[in-house]
Amino acid sequence: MTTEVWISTRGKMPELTRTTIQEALEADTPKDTSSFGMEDLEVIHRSSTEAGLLGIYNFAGAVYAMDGSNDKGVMGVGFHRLDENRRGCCQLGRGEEGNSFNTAELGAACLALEDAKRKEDRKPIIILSDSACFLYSSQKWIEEGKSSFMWGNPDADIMRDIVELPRERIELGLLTVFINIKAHRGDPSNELADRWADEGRQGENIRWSLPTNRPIFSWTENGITHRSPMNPMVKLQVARKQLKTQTGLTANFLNDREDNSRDLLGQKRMDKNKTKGLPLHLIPISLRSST
Amino acid sequence: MVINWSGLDDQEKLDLIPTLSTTDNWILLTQPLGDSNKTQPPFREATKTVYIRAGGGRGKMN
Repeated sequence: MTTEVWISTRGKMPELTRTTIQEALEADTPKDTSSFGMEDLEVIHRSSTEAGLLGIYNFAGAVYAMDGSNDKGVMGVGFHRLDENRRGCCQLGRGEEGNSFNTAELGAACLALEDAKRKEDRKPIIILSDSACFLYSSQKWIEEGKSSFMWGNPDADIMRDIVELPRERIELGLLTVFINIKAHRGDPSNELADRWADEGRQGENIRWSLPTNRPIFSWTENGITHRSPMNPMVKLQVARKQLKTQTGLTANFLNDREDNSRDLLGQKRMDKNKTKGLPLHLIPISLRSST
Repeated sequence: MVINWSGLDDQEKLDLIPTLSTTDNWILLTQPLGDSNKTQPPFREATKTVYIRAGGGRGKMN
């Protein structure tokens, strides 16, 4: 794509500016920069982001941005604490059981909560997450009136920590707030967490790697082999295979019978169309459409 | 000040033109232009200085 650059007829563009703009436009990375600079425009930009409009960057407590990364069969998690410019990341194990973005987001939340616990500064914390899925999955442990079970939860070990760590904070009278923000909308905190999640994916520190002993299914689609425990995607793949097989069997079964319902239906339709002698599948389209 | 001209609506462009006409500390970025392309800066004080092809070379206009 071509971009044209215009300046004032009275102005002149320094070569350095020209080069900088060119590099920015030609950069093939789909991600925004994660600048937390203090120049006027950066401050204005930051205050216009979702978190900025909520006043989070002026929050007196601690603000954590967290994110998970799931790419090339490896999951990574990372967080960034804004007030102390502290960060953490790691890789998630159990990749052989199949990857999920939700697992990565859960791990990221857990890392952030663990960091808040270690800090022991009794500050209220806000945790920014770009995963609505994570918030929904953890919501049922927060609301009253529901009996939630860890049984069947594929990420029970991580979820247990996520439930336990805020519970400890509640007992200490400390505030913990999760806020959902949109991903990759130029919010520098989200971008920083995203970078650390990528870093964690490439790191050697691996956590939550104990197998869950769930059966793992594998299938090949377009030459790519997928592995996953039972989930809606696996069920869909099974249903597709069954449909292919059973369509043939059903057709053979019906065709082999002389007095099956298909023939009776065909006879009825042929009588109606006065096309005796023609099997159903040879009825002209014009006659079919007239019924 | 770098402005994504294509990202502004007509009213925003009209609002900006008086300021841009009297200052010279700005840079406008636009999509490829054509005779009927409304993204072309519609004021005389703007001059095209360079066009950049993402992933390709750069063309210098002056």
